[in-house]
Amino acid sequence: MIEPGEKMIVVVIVLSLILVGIASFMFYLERRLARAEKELKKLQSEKTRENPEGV
Amino acid sequence: MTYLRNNWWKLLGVLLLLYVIAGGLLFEAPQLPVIRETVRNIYFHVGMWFSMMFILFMALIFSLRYLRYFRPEDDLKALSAVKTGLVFGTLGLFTGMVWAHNTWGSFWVNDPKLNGAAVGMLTYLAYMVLRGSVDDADKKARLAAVYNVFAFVLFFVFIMILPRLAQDSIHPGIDGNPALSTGDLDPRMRKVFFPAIAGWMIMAWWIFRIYYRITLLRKGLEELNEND
Repeated sequence: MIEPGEKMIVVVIVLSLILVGIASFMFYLERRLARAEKELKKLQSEKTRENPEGV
Repeated sequence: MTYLRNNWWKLLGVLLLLYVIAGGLLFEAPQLPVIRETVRNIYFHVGMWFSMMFILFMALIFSLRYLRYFRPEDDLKALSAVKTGLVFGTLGLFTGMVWAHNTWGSFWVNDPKLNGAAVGMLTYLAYMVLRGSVDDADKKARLAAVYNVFAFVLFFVFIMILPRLAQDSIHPGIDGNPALSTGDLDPRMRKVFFPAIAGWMIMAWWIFRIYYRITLLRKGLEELNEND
């Protein structure tokens, strides 16, 4: 059996840090996406205003 | 506060996986011959594989919905779900290969479930190829949706039905549902295994949503540029 000694705890800490890093990146990505979606919506509405008939 | 209300499930997923990493590596696990400590990989390998099945099932639902209502969003959702499923499938195969190497000394053994999984993954890769080979957007979406239904059925035949017809496999579950029946999993492992399944599934759903939003954004930009 693996003794929950120091080595295993280091592995757990490293893996946890990797997971937290990935999760933080995903949260950051979602924030960036929300901003980009807003920007796109603005561009689309501007376009419709410029060309209401869509021709 | 609103942010937390909308994102609590993502935090829950991360917390569950942190618990799985700590519990999976530090808690006591049963000592089985040959497998020994590598049994802990079940929390990662099986978790990823279950998430892949879940997300591919969702892809099937989106494809069926597309065929019912012909909404382009459903097609994009199916595409994003298949991509996420492929990521989790690759991770599942990779963790399985590392496990096999450490217990049987080889990355790939001639096991019906392994070969079935590989062929199943190829079926989904063909979905991507099919999409890439059709130019017309409507035609592409319809063809892809029909193929996705076929791919899901084929995939389950390859990983669930055919391996059970084989006489011998290194994977459990020849005569039932592996890991979920009462006698299959040691009670000590269950307290990490079930949170692992939930945590990986939440993670898969989260990745799928990000993928979908990126795809939708890209499509919106393309349409905007086309009209210019």
